[in-house]
Amino acid sequence: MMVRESTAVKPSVIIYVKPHGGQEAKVREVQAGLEEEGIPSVLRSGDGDAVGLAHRGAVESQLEVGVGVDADTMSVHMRKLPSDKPLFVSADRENPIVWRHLGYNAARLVKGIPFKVLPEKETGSIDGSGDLECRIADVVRKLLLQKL
Amino acid sequence: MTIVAGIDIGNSTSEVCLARFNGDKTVEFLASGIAKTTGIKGTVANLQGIIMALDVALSKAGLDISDLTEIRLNEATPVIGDIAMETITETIITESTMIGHNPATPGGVGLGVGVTCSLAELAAARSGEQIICVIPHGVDYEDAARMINSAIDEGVLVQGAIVNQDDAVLIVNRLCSNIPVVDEVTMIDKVPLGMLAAVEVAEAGQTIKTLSNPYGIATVFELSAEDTKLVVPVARALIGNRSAVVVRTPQGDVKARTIAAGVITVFGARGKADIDVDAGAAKIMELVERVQPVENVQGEAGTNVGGMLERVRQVMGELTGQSLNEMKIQDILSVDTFIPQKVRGGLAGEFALENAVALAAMVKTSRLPMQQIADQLEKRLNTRVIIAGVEANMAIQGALTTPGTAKPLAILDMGGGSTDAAIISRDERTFAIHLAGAGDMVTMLINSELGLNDVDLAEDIKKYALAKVESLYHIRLEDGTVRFYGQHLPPEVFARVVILKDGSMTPIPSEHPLERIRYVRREAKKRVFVTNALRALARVAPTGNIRHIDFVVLVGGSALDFEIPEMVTDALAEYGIVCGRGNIRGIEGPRNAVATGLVLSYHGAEAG
Repeated sequence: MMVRESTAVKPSVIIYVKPHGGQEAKVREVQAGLEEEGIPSVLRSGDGDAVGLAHRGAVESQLEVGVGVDADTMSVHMRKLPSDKPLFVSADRENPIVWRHLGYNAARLVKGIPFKVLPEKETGSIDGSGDLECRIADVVRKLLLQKL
Repeated sequence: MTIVAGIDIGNSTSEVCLARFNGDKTVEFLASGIAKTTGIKGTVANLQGIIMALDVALSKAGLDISDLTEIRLNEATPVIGDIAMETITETIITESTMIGHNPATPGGVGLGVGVTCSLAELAAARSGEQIICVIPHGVDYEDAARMINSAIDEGVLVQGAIVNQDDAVLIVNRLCSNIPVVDEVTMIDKVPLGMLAAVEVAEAGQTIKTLSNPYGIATVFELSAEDTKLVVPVARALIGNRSAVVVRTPQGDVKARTIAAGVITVFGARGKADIDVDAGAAKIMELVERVQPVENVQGEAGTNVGGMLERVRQVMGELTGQSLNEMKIQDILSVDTFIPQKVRGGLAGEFALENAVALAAMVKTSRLPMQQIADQLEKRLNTRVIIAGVEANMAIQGALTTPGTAKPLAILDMGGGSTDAAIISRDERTFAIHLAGAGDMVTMLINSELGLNDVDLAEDIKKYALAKVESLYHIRLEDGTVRFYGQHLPPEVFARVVILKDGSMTPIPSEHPLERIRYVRREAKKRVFVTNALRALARVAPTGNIRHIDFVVLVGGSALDFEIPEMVTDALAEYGIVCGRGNIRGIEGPRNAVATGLVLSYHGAEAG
């Protein structure tokens, strides 16, 4: 039974969206980014913040990668990561290029090739996230890594 | 009780060996110290580094400067090396004719030939016309696809497309026919319109076949035999790409120009000889060996190599404060190499591999002002400072403290600027030589062949092993072993080749796969150090035959490298030579040979 269920679903990156005005433009760019890189995606809607939704997508995705979209932020997550520590978070509400890049990089995470960097400045990598707690955690993690 | 410090001022590090001589003339080594050499070797600027290294050793031994009886400095060999590189071929596109870059995700597959036409003009194209569509910046992929589809419906034969944004796959997925599309062409405005063009995209994992073949291009554009000759550089520049565009413009032309590199004249004790640099490194080195010993090397005035050798002379003249005509180049090491260079006139930042020659030159200057250093040091520390012994002899004395060695013994001192060799016979006679080319040249080769433009990064690639980050949680080292991490790795290093340096990871910002970087690194080391090891030993061998040397000890900074000693050992094993990294006093590894030798020579001086 389990086997049939899992083979029935095409492996894809799962995009969870919290319904809000203007979501179509964002979803379109994320999906375009994934499509250009050749990775299929599935759109679902749910409730919660972008990070939580992204992790939910990652847990449900056979490719272990999910994207979360809410009114303010977008996030790319991976199943193996702690749910509160997404790989990418972007609070950019205006820039379609940033959205597209989140799509590219979600796909590249699956493909295992280096991430694409925004032409002008770095994408909202972990450092760019607004969450103070998250930032502190990152600084600590970086220090630990340096110590290793 | 006498306490002696031997101090060796090297090109990159200053090393100290501290020892106590007891009443019965036995020597007890106390500590060693090391610091970066400050300033150019042999100048007063060295004092700071010397004192730092001395402090390290003294504090380890729990002593004070006032406890010192004597400081012994080496008589530094007045040898300075420098390196230079010059390209000898150049690819120029006089009118934009080629787009040969490798976007990560081109769209469609196959070869399309047609006349270039901008997307806006597409509606005006006639039915039956063969078109390559050029899509400028700012056009949405859905609009682009819709317009191409409607043109196809009108009977226009759209054969391919060239796109500015990273949209190729998106566009192709929305087209009613599968055409090749090349994207991420940055200078799309420069693509000439109304010209015959060919677009080729290969299957994933394959490379283009038609546009990388001169006859393929000739077939597409119906070229004459004469014109086919002209497209060879285009085809050559496109080899190995997954996608390419070639546009035929009436006056357009791609030239592979050979820059007249010039002639080197080597003056030897046995006459002089000329050689064209184009002949290649092997021929140049053959000539250098033939006219041994070299007294001077000159380059033809007004040519690249002339300028290059002149620069070397000038740099060294400035360093030593001697006049240019006193600067006699006494050895050169020439290595064939290539440099990825941006193609002039390319549309998407294409690179072509240009041939180049790298030269290391070695200049013997008149005596370095060591006495000045000694006087200053004496004044500063209030201790007797003596210049003792020639560097090579001291290095041999130090090397002989390596367990398992015996005379006759040869040492190979592989440093940053020069490779030195010295030999001591059973009856204590020594002979030393200095050759151009060492660690700095390896760094230069790595830097240029990988197109890094970052000397510090090249230096790190030279020194440390590589790894590939395979997931957010694990890396694969270059020997195939896997290392896991409890915390996820930063996204900057994901899927990249990294240098493992003191537990941290430095991503290498290039598309080169790990195998390629490793290959370039190892080849650079072999071409410099193995070549120089054989050259050096052949010269110090009493009979001129390497086989007559039994023991070779590797010392110097580059002997600490993780693979150079093994490469040299491997190469010398063929000649039946026992060769390995030195282990000075059984504890120091290949470092501290000269400093140790200086201390030991005190013993000799007292006894004698």
